[in-house]
Amino acid sequence: MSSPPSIETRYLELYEQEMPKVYRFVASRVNSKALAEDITSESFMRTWDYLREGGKIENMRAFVYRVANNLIIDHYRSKRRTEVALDETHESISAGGEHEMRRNADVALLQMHLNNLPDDYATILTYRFVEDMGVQEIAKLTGKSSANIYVIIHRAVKLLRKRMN
Amino acid sequence: MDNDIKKILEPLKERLPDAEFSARLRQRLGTYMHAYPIPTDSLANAKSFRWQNVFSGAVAAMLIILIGGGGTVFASQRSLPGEPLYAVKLWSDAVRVSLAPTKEAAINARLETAKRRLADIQKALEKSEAEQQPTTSTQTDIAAALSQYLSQLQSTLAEASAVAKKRPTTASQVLRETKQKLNERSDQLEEIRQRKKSEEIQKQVRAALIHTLEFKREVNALEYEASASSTSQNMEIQRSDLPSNQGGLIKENLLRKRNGDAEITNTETSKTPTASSATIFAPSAESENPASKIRQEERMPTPQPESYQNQEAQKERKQQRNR
Repeated sequence: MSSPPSIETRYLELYEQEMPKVYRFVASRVNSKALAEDITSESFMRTWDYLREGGKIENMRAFVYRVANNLIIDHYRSKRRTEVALDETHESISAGGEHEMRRNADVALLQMHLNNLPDDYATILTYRFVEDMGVQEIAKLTGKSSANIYVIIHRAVKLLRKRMN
Repeated sequence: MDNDIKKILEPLKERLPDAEFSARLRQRLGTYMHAYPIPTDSLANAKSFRWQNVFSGAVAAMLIILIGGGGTVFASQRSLPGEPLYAVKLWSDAVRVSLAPTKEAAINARLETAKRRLADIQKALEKSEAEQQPTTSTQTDIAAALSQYLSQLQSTLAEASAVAKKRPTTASQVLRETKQKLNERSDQLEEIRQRKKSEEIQKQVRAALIHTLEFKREVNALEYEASASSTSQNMEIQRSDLPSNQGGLIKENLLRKRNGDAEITNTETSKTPTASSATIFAPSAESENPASKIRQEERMPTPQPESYQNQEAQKERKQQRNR
């Protein structure tokens, strides 16, 4: 009988499986590629540190997302800025043609609107519409009730639409 | 109803990590996990063993000196990893560090010890290259030397942090020197990385290099905090020079900065709109006294609208002539 995989192996498996999704979640909220990479990397390191310090994690995936989300919130709280910073855009604006430039500007504007929503709204909208998570799954991730998630999604969509118009 | 929002947010879905980043992070995570494994019983013992090392080292060294074995300690100073007296050398260095009278002296002693450990490893690898194969005891001692190296850096950081908090005005010198020495250590480790050695030592050296760079990052952050803190003290002294509202705003911004909040600006109360808070709190404040900068900017003449009007008038005259 083979022995169960070590915690290191399981953690690296989780990394392989979840890292692209966590990165996408982060990159959809911050408008700098380097920052998205930093936050993703820090999320996995901090989760490992938590385990190392004897912390118990029931849902590892949820935990990594929560760490990433807190880091994003910290970033915006410390900066208190969501304006479009042209030197921070995800892809190099000058690299593409006019179409690419317009698309990048649209994305940056979208992020600005998203990040100007209350923290909970922005996070849950991203989980729902960027990560395509179900309401139950989001409830599990955030520790809120499903009914609460429905309400938040409804309000967040309304607010985002109003601001974008 | 939500379909339009889904469509709006669609572009955000396209953001995926590039393969190079995925591979780099995986490798970094693997190294980090290797360097900081989940503590098992053996590791918990290792932690207490470190303290044990310091105390038993101190006691042993004192005993050796008292009994007349000072010569042994002296002789051990030339020993290298893999040699019988190397453990005594590690002990005696730990004792030397623990006897430092002040935190600043301890930081110096620790950084010196860290340098000595890497030099030991360099020499041991040179020697083992000549002898073709490093022995097991050499490998064990190299691991012990690296462990002492890292623990010295860890303690240096804790002590530097304490110095930065207690004496921010004098800390910048200590922190600058620490950073410089950490740079030298990373170069030393890079040199060690180039040498031929076992896979296990290679991994440990790589991890030590990563930690050294992380420590440097921490020291950078401490330096920045200390500089902001000493700046705030200068500000307090110069506050009487400033208009009351502006002084209050600066103080509040400093408090907000310390708390990690966003700065506020008040152009209405500020007498000189050019001296924005962004200028005052620029990270480069390290080399300049921001209070003097504010005063300098207050003295600077504000751009006169006249010159602009003159240019406009000239343009109009030119156009009329053309017509």
